[in-house]
Amino acid sequence: MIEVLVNDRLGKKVKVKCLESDTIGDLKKMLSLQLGTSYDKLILKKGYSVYKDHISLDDYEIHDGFNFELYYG
Amino acid sequence: MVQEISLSLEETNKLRISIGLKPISVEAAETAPSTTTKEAPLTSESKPELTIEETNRLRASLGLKPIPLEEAASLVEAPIGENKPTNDDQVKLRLLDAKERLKRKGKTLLDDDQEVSQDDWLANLGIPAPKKAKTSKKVSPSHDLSGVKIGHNARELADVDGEIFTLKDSDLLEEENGELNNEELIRQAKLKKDLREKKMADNIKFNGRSYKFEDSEDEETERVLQELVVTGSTIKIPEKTTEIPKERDNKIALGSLFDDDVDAEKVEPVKMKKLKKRPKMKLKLNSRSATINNEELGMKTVELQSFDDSVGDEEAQLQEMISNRIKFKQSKRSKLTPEQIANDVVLSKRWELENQLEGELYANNTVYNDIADFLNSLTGSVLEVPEEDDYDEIKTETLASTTSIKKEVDVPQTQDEAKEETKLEEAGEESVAPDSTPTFNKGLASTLNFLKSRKIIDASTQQQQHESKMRREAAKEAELLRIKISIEERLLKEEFELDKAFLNLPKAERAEVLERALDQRLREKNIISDAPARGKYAQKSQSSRLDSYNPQVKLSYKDDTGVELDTKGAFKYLSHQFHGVGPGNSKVEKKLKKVKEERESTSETII
Repeated sequence: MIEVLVNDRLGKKVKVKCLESDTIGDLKKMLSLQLGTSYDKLILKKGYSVYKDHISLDDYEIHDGFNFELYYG
Repeated sequence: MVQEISLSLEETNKLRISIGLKPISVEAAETAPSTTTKEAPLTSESKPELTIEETNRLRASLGLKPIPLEEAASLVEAPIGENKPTNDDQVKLRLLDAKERLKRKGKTLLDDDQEVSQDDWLANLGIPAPKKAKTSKKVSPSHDLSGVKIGHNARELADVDGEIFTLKDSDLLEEENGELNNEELIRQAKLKKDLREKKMADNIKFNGRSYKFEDSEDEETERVLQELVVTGSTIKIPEKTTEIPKERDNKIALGSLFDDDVDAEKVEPVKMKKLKKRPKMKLKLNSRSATINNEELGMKTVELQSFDDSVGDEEAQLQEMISNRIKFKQSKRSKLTPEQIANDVVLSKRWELENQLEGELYANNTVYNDIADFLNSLTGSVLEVPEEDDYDEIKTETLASTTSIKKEVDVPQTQDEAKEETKLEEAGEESVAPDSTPTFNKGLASTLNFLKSRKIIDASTQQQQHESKMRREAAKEAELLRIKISIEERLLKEEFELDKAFLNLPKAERAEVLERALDQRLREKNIISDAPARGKYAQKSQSSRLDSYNPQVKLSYKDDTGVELDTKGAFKYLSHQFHGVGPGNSKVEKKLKKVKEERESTSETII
């Protein structure tokens, strides 16, 4: 299990527990449950790279304590 | 500010199950590198924090200035918030000051020295050591301390009770007497200074300007106070702390210095100000309300202006009247009930029908010509059947030289008739008649036939005849319908005129009632139908109506300059308009030039 941080820099900072085998889409779903925003409206970024829904966290080499930038589409 | 959300493992598992994901096992959570208790597990585990010594070594290797140990320690010991003096601290300071003053009045360092005389040391051999130890803290040779500066101000000194002062390191060659310092105080001062610098830097960062600090005054005072000098055995501390209340007193005193009159004077202008302000506000409000009124009654103002501008201008008045009437009507219309609207619709339908019928009557600009109609009907019925007989007769006439008088008499008669009815054709007939010498013993029909054979009158085809016939029929129908409606209307009016209740109604309502009744009656008698006819009959009637409809339409598109466009150009023009784009300036200029040249050339050719 890993715990990742998601910050939208607008006042929301969420810690999400997830498995490395989860996809970004799954993470978004979890996030949407915690934030109350629809998961298809969430955009996870780091720098200029946008994380795609069908790829797993492991493939992205996302480790524990990873910081995501959250944007709303 | 930041809303940080983190859920427990149980909660996350619940959510995961609700989504359809597999729950996170508790074992996995335990073996995981991070737990919920740790805030930043990554930094704490994979990269443990370096000690100051290590960081300093690294900094030295990089060529940076090492972090001083003292500062680091102070940073750890004293958090930023504690250094800010509060009201309570100030009160404490004052209390401590007062205590110290009392102590100093009773005893001085020199007094202590006098008590312990150095000369008769033998006599004092029996005195216990602790006293000396006590003095050793405070005491230092008087001559040594005289003229020595103290590197702290009164406030700071008040804070330090029973602390050790040390001589500041200085060069041996320096002539100055030296400076007494307290390590703790120095550390605090440094910390303060650092903080100030940091703040300054922040300010510069955010605003691009350097602001004067609020504490700058305090700083200056501190600098002044820093130069305290030890005179003899006492440290002269200027009573700075007492100045603060003095200032306050002054303020109060200044306030109390003013007499009642002065106060009154002072108050009065304030009142005046208020009075001044109020009317201003009122004026503003008035102006605002005035503007609002203007906005609300915009029509009125416009009317007034128009009156002023053009008293004799009747046109403007007329237009206003019309616009007012239209508005009145519109407002009335908005108040109509659904029933009235339905009636209006029915009425308008009837009017449309009547208009349509009228339109059919005068469709294709056909003028009902009695003569032409008569002649056309003759061709259909009379002319075609006896054609052969006519020819035979003509032959016989030409063959036989002797003609009967009766026949000769008949011919001019027929000619006269033809003259009366068709004047234009007559001339042709006269010019042609002597050559072929036709006989018109069969009346108009023979004349017409002859004219057609000579192509003086265009022989209309079967289709044309049919079309014209259809048109005529439609026109007849329309006329009939109109007559029927008018008859019904007249009858209804007569009926209603006998009704007293109807006569009592106002004019407008009377017309309405009449219209309604008429409509109803027409529908009852199937003179007009509300719904269009359906089924094959409807199709038939529609198709039969459209049989004669053959308009010749030619579409032509023109651009802004009036140049006729072909289909491609027209499409391009329309699409440009639709999408809000167009050709560039150069293209437009080129086109305009071309058009100009063309026009010039055409004008030249005309000349």
